[in-house]
Amino acid sequence: MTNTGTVEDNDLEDLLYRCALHDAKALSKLYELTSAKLFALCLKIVTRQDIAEDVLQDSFINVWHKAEQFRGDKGSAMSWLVGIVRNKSIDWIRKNPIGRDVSDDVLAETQDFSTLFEDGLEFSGDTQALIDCMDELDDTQRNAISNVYYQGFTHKEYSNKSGHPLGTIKSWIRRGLQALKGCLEL
Amino acid sequence: MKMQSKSLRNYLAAEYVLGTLAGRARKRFEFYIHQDPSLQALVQKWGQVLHPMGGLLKPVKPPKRVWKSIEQRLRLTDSRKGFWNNLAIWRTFSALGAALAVVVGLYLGPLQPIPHVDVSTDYLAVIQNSQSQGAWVVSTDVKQKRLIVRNLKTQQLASNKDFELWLLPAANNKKTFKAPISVGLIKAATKTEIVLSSHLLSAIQQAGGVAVSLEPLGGSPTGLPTGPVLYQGKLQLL
Repeated sequence: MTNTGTVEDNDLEDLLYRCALHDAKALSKLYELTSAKLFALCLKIVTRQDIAEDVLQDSFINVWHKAEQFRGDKGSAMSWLVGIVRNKSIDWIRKNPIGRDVSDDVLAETQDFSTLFEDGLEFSGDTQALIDCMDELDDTQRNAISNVYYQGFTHKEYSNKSGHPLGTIKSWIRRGLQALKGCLEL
Repeated sequence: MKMQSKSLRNYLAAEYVLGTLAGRARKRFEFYIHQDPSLQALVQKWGQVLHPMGGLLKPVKPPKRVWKSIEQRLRLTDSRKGFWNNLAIWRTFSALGAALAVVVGLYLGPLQPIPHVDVSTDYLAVIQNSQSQGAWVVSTDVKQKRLIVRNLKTQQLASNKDFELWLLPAANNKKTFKAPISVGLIKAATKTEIVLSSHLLSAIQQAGGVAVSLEPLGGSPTGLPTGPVLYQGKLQLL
């Protein structure tokens, strides 16, 4: 089995450094290698195809202008790209709280973390480490973190959606995050 | 928002990356991130913890129109004509830019002597870091086939690294080259003089700017930048 991308992070790093020098071919290659993964994330959070396309577009415009700020020693290239896409997606849903497609059952129910990806796939080192550490969390902590991450819920939204009290949700997330950080030894 | 507490900073950084900070709290936190490098580092650390999740979903290929729009917005294609391709406007910008470069040089004067720029030079660039602080002045002497890089201040450089100077493609010139071209290694503390080949002489005339990247000792092994781009500057026609 192979990873969904099989893209070496070093390749992405080189492409980002070249983007910082306004190398258009590098941006094109970067888009080719990462856009499908990033688009899946946009779609998951904003839930609307048209908005997800806009968010992805804005994200790559940002990548082009901010590439010089990327530092390979501070984190992986893919994490840096995901950070940009997530921030853009979250910004959009915060500004348009009723703009999401709530008829889609993506928002109708919360999802279990393990159902988000296919079993048996191989992932890169940092991703596999995260999956292993997520497995070690309590079910409640794991699902709270993954639902908030992938669907962009605030504490309150997730509390309403899951039916658990706000304080409980905050506590699950807080403890889960600390456990994750400890497990990943960061 | 009191940001002194270590545990609060850590908690807020985590919640920011996770996305649960909302409204004014989120905006205020973003303001603090830009002011505080250690908070920025915490955010990066939490990005390392959580963002691998972003690559787990089953990929969905975006429609082709998304890339086309990106190309158009960044003017990566050369099919567009109009305001930005107007030569007269570019000449005006170029003259204004050269004047600005001299003003920047004057502004930096009290800190460091202004490097002398030979009147026979044809191009000039002030290379700055991301905080807009000048680091080098690049000038060319096309007649003598020389490019001169003068330090505005001594740069810190690890013993196993080198600074490499690059010519950047011009954003709006369809005749420009497509990828950065290495000009050569430049010194951290003293003036560097580089003899320009005919290839580089011609490339300079099509270039939009210059940049300096941090490379392994001896320069990029690939012919393209492999390290972070620390400094950039616009190349101005004198």
